[in-house]
Amino acid sequence: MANYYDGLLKLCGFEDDEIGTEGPRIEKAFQKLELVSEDMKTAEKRITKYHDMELSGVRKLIRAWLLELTDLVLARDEGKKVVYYGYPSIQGPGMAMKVASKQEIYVGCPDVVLCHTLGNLFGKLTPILETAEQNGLPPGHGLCSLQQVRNGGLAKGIIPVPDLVTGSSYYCDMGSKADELLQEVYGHKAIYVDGSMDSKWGEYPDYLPQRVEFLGAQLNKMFATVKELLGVEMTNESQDKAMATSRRLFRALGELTRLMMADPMPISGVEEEMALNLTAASTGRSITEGPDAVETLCQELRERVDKGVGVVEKGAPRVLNFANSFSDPDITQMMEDVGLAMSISITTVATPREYIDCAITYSTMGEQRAQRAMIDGFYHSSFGIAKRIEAAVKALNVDGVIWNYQFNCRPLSITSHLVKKWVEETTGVPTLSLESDLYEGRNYSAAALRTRVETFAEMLRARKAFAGA
Amino acid sequence: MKAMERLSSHLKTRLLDLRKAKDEGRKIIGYTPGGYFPEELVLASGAIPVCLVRGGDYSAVELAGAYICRWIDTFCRAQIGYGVSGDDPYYSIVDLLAIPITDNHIRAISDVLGCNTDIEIFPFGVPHMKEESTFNYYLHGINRLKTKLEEVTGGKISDVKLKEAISLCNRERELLREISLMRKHQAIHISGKDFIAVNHGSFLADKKVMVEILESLYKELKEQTASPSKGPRILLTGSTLAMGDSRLLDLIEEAGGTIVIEEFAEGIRPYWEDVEPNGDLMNALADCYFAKRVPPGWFRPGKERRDFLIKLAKDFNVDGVIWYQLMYRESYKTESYYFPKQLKRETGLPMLTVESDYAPSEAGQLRTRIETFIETIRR
Amino acid sequence: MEQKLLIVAGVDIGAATVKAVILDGSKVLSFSIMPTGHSVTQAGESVIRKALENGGLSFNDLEYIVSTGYGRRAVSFTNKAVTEIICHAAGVSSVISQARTIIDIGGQDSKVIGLDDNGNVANFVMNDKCAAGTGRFLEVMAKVLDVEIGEMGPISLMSKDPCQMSSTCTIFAESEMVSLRAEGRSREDLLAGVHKAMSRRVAIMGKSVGFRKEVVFTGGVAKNVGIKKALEDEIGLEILIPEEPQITGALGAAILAKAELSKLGAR
Repeated sequence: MANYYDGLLKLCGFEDDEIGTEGPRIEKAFQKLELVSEDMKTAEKRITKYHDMELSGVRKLIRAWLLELTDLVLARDEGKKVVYYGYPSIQGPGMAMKVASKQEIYVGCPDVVLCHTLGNLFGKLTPILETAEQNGLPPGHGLCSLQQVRNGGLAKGIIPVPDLVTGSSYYCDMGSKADELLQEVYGHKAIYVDGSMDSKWGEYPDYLPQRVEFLGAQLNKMFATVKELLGVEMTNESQDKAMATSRRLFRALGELTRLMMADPMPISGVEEEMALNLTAASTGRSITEGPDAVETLCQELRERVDKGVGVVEKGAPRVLNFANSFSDPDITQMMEDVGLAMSISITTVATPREYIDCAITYSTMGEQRAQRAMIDGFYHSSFGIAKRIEAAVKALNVDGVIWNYQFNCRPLSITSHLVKKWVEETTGVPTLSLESDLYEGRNYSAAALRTRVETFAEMLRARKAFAGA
Repeated sequence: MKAMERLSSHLKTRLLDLRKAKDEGRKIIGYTPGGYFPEELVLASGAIPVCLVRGGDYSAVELAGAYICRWIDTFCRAQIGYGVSGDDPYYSIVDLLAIPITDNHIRAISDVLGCNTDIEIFPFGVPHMKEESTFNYYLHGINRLKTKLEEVTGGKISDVKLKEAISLCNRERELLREISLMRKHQAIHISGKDFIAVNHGSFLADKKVMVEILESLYKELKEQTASPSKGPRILLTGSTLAMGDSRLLDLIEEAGGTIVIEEFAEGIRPYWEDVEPNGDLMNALADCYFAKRVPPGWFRPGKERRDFLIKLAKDFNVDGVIWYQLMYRESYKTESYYFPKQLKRETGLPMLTVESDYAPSEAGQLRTRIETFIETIRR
Repeated sequence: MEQKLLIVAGVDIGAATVKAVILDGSKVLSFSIMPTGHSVTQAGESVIRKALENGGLSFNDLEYIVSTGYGRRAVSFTNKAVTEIICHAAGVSSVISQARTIIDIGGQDSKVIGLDDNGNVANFVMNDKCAAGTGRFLEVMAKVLDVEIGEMGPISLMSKDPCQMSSTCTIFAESEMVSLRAEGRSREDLLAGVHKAMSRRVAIMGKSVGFRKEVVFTGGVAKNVGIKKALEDEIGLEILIPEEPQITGALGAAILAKAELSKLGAR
């Protein structure tokens, strides 16, 4: 007898025998998520509309996300310890924790997982957001929608109450407050990692060593607490091991971002975003399924590039786009519909090769991470962000920048006008300052944003035509 | 009251005094409120501290709209508006704008003014938790501030001068405390609005003059017969109570409420603790301004402040709490969700949350909510 | 062989009004303006039919049609949809070649557009979320003060002491206006206050684009002399208004239609 989820799983790269073995477990997760056969049909429609399903790599990616969702939802039922971290995580501790642990432990970012699955694939994020709005995070106040997803997920009982929440708010204030609110209700433990954002405008790339030492000490404290609470020791050894296991994945992602820059752009930003954020949200399936999925995708994209096949026309204006929507692929698709090749995002900008190789002068794991964050610029300050975008624009020779700042993320909303001003003054490249919500599309939908993006595309095309004439 | 009149005329000519002082070569050091700026260092350097704490006027907020999106705290957008206008008397007169970087909203002031104006900005960080590493970071910050002040004024901040300044500021704090605490009694010597005006005045006035004014005010208040508080006693708290933002206070008093204590960075927190000038003075400053200070809403966890609010509510025998929330200050907004539950549990007291974006059009809504609240707790 | 006249059309489908312009070469043959009403599609079809009628032409005479505005994708008879910002730039540049800044205030949105020296859009900012700073704001105020929309501007110019209006939201400005009126302020002072408040919003929004001369004012609200003056006071520059400020979007669309045709012809 056919199961109601067979069609969906088949579409998403599950082999027949796998549907047999994984199916029941996924079904359990779907039950917890209240996903019924109607939702399967909706998902199949959405996935076919928004995703490049002829590519095996894309099917594998979606499969990886569905498995991660299942792992998340069933973690407690399957006897695992559960650790949540905040997004963006100060990269690494999650992986190191997972690798270092001797017991079964789910380490991930549940809100990002829900956005990409319940949101992106099933189009069913709104009920979670509305629940959160009644549970302490009301609308109209610019409260972080990612925190709303976490809050709503817990309130609805679809994600397990964690044993530990770590690392929120090293640069913002909302993460810790939202976590504190949840702690009041659910009683779990939280480790706040504090950071002080006191570099001044104009200071990057300089920074006072005390900033590194402070954040470093906070991170080291987090590692020590994790050891105490979970018996998991995070050392340089476990970190090296984690880096080794993820090396293959990061190499593949690097290749993916390079392929995105081909002309014509070979695949939609929707897929690149799914790949990049799988690593950000997951320490499980990103390692087990991620490398193969991304490598397959790269292989298929190389073929497209060789044939000159793409999803926007050749010669389309190349845009550095801050990031793509986690849950509403309609928005990215609209931007590509109006003819923009959004082939560079800050995630690709944020890990340039020279920074990976640069001299880290500290010895403790925490301070090393902190130093890397300061050098990187995006954590350093608003000026650091502006400078990094300036550098990327110049190095990658883009035609335009879409600075789609997350309206309810205070560190980013500060830069709403600053980045545009700085980038245009230092590079002359047109920059669209676009207020949006990358986590959910209710108030900043594709329709709402279209006129601005379309006008910007026209502007860039006219500039290109004029320059070419 | 004569002391209040003296304060009022002193403040009226304050700008002229500052300009005169500047012409004579003294430096004016502006700083953003939040409670983490040790004025003692400025006084010891021979410069004049000026807290930039005006608010309540929407036109300043509107101006900021050309430099930053709306999703930043109203008070901070107002400061941005004043700063970018180019003709604000206070922002134009400061030689240095010191900004203790607390949450991202205050950081917005530093970044936006740093990018768009010529004002010299000196940010230093205030961590969001109380531990050894955070204490050390704050201490490092005020040491940097000390060096910067020495550079700006061209002199050294000696321990002798610093001790003097600490003593003067302690005296001011002590007097403000004494006067404020008079409102613990059932009989009221000074209205909430008046006390707030005095407290706010202390952010701008000459320190020595302020201490004199406070001494005579205290004397006057002790000598006069207090009037019994008629209406419900209110603990006023929230994100920011700016100087000049008196609409809320008027509404509460018009509705018959009596504000007996204000828990804000522009309220009780600056005068609640004194500096103990024993041993290393910089350490002593950090101890008072960071370690002992009741933290603001963005501190994590927020338990210390919430417990402090409960204690105030009990000590001051209030009938209700009003939480004044400026728009988009998210940490306070979130705290305002579960604090009323704790308040109810531990004291049985009700809480009203009112929001503002400094827009004049809100007056009607604010009035309705406040009047209703005051009425319900009156019964 | 006889040279065929290349007749093109531009249709601007706004939320409040629809406009159509029929262009022959570089000459405007005819145009039409009508309220959008409840059906965007029907309004689009009606306005182009009316414009054709006014020019003594039929639908088949049209070689190419470009649509713009809020409802540009809701009509099926057009060949291409282009945003109103691009179209206003094209339309204004064709009648005022020195235009470098365009302030467009329509029924439900407002924009400030910066042009480069070639008449192309270099920068833009728009408000389509908030009624304050759009024609809607004036409509609401006209009702409260019981004046005809067309009278608002001239009456406001007679004021010697404009009211300070502080409400930022149209809904609250309405009640603020009612109380100011109850206080006995004169009609001209009230209207001057309304115009000042609206212009201030637009000027602040446009600051990130910057105002460079020549500054051109378009959209239905451009017919209001009071707003023109208030804007000039805010930005400190003289403002030019094209003869038919409401149709510059449709005109620009028609000009782009002509350009598309030549591109096709060149292939």
